[in-house]
Amino acid sequence: MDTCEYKAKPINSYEDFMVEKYWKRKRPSEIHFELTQKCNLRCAHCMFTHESLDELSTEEVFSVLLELKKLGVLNLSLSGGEIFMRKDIVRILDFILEHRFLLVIYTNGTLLTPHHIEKIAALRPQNVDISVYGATADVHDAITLVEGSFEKTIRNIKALRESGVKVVFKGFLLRNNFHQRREMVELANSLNVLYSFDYKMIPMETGHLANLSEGLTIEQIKQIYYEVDREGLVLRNNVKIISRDNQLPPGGNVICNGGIVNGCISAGGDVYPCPVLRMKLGNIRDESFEKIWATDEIDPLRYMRREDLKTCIACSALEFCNRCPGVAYLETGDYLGPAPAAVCSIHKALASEVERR
Amino acid sequence: MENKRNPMRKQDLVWREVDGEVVILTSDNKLMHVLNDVGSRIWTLLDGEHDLAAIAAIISTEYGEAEDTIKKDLVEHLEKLRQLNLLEE
Repeated sequence: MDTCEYKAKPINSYEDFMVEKYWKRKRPSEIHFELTQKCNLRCAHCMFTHESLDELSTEEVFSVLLELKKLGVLNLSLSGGEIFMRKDIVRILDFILEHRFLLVIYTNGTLLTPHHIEKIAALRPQNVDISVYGATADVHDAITLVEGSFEKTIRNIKALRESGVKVVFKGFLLRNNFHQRREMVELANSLNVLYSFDYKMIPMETGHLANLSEGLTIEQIKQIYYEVDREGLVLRNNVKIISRDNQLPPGGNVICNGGIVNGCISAGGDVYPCPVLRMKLGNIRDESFEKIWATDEIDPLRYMRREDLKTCIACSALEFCNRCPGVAYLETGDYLGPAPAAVCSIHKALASEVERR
Repeated sequence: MENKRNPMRKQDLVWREVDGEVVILTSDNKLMHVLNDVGSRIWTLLDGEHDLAAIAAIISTEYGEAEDTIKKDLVEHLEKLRQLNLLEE
């Protein structure tokens, strides 16, 4: 009999297993599942239009989750819209509890009831990420356009913490809350939650760029660039992805996991390589997720190398860039190209500023 | 019928069988354990419905080893899984 030896590894160093079982076989390990496009808030910077669509039914959601489990998907992110707009959300959470995924929940926190919180606590998610847009009600509510949303969000962050749920305070920096960035850190600390800040604007799913005007100004971005190290503001997307030696065997430089081990399913069942890259690969109402995911249509994305990014690698701002194939696709239709409005203008300005100093 | 005395994997673990290998995330989700093919087959039998003898018999049939040898290995293997907090008490 073969001995029953096994390997125990820190979760951050299991690349060989992931490469063999997932990466090489084009099998996703992580799915971002948008359960609804509906939202009770009306944030002007949001990439979604919140148009009503024919959402997947409860049974369709269950069927997809079972298929994902069978395929070996370990990590599941539930997102929207606002997932607690779904009337069947408790049934879905119960189903996930039965079938077990390493779960992250994205929510604005305003609609949580004690019953929801009890269900979430039972699921023991990796974390619940709650979007916060200010340190005070006037600033936050002016961005969500819903009066009282700040109070509900903060109240439910506290309730989740009291139930032992790990909460991440997801601060989003915009030009209208920039002045409260330090107070937001203090608020997160006072709530005893982890926090992360983001400023990366994503064009609307329709490709329109109108929402970008809500983002930080170039002057504000220059300012926080120097604050990151000095004041410990954690900016999720200040990573210089393209300039890293981000190597995974056997494909050489892997620039993004979207379409390789990460995937996205929309509220209507469309399958995308990632939540930002809205390049429809198929719909799970028409064929299985497995069959859709097996497509070679996105192989240029999956096996993208630095040298494929012909415009970007010649750019003087490369060192500062947080290039995202999805943002480029939304803005120009070419995920191998630049994103002049959403990304390039900012990072070129940063590059010239640093050079000037 | 479930028998609590039968070995049983922890019910709150996230685990998947991928191409015949089982990968398990620990309860705190900080460790990942990867089992080899025999370990993976045993894992699928740790459902509380199979006792040690039944598991050994199945493995014996499927892998062509004497049941006595398998039982001995199995006891050690289950002890390791217990130490890793992967089995119900």
